[in-house]
Amino acid sequence: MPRFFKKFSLIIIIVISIALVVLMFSTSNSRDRMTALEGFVGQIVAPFQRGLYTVSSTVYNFFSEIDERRNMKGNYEALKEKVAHLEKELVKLEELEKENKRLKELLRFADQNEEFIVTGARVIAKNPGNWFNLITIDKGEKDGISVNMAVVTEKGLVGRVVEVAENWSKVRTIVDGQSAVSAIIQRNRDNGIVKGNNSLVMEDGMCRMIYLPEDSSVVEGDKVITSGLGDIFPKGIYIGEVKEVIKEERNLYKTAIIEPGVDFQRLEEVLVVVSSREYSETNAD
Amino acid sequence: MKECIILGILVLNIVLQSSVFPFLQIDNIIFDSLLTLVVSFSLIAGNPTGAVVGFVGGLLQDILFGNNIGLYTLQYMLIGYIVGLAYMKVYIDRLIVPVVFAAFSSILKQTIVLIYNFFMQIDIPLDEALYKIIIPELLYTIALMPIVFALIRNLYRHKFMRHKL
Repeated sequence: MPRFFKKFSLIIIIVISIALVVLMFSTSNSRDRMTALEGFVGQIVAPFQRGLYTVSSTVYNFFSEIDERRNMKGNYEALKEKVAHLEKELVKLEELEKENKRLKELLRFADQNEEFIVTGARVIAKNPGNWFNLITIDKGEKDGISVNMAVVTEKGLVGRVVEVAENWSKVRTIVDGQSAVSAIIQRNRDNGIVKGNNSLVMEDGMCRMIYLPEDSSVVEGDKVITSGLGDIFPKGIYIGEVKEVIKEERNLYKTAIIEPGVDFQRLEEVLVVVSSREYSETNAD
Repeated sequence: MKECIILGILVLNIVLQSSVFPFLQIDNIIFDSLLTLVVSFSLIAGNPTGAVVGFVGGLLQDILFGNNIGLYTLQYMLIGYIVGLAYMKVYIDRLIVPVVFAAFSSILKQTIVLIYNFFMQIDIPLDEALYKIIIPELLYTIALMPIVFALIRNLYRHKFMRHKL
């Protein structure tokens, strides 16, 4: 056989190849039934295949389970990292949402008070302590800020600019003991001066409205606004609400304890009143 | 005896190919164990063993997995015959020899498939076939070639494998 094959090997291979090509193309069309040979060989091999497939899939499942368990720790760490990252993102988003809300309110305030020309500023520092009497904002001389400009939020008067640098400024808030704002009771137009409360070594976040006339009908709940006297604060800015009225025994004035409208513990964005149309008109007159 | 052993190996191969090797897939590619067997037999025993092993192994594949009868048979028979021509002409102790022959055989096999596809108007983009099937299968097959070759060589150290088919 080998000698015969060696002699005619090429011819044999070519003949078989041609036969196979013919067979290949003739059996390429879709067939509904297997040939008898196919069925016979399949019948012999199938039980072995089935047995081996069962064994190998069991082995495969065993190893893939081990692999999964090994990966579980890595997956856990990766997921933990992802959760931390997402939590950070969420906090950032919540911050943005809150900032957006605050800025919208500020904008509404600016729109409602068209007589004020304002510029927005961000609070970048507060002096340490429970109640913040001086704050630093991120706008300065370069942005047109100058000393004695009023600083407000949509909730009311914050204070006035006391020092100006090129890019930043210091603002004395109305709760500072050194602060004095000329104010009136909105309802009865009684005049007085709103001073910070920390001069009483009582940093309770309240202000006092002093020099109210003895016969003033001021009562708890009255609204206090700026009077516009003194050329620092424009008229009509909300300061706060009367919480208590005290009649000083030894002098002829009444004193009202005012709760400021502004929450000084949560102060993040403010508006600086660069100029007031009312003032400009008055000065022009 | 020798014929029975070879036939047993081919049947075992076809069983393993359909049961165990699917679990050894890398990126959906299974290595061509029959090709490594045919190349090994051809290099170690020459022709007609190589051609017959290719023919029988291919025929078994055609019967069990083929779209038709003849494509696998033709591929492996030609591989067996052509590689068998190099019998005693190359130094098979060097690892690179079976690997090179396996690479050549893999290319030959895929070329036959491409020609078949062309005539059957099966449209598979060549570049896609190259990157997704031809090259990965070639690499996977030649990587396992030395193991299969070593096993068959060991088998041929036994006396019962010495006589010619």
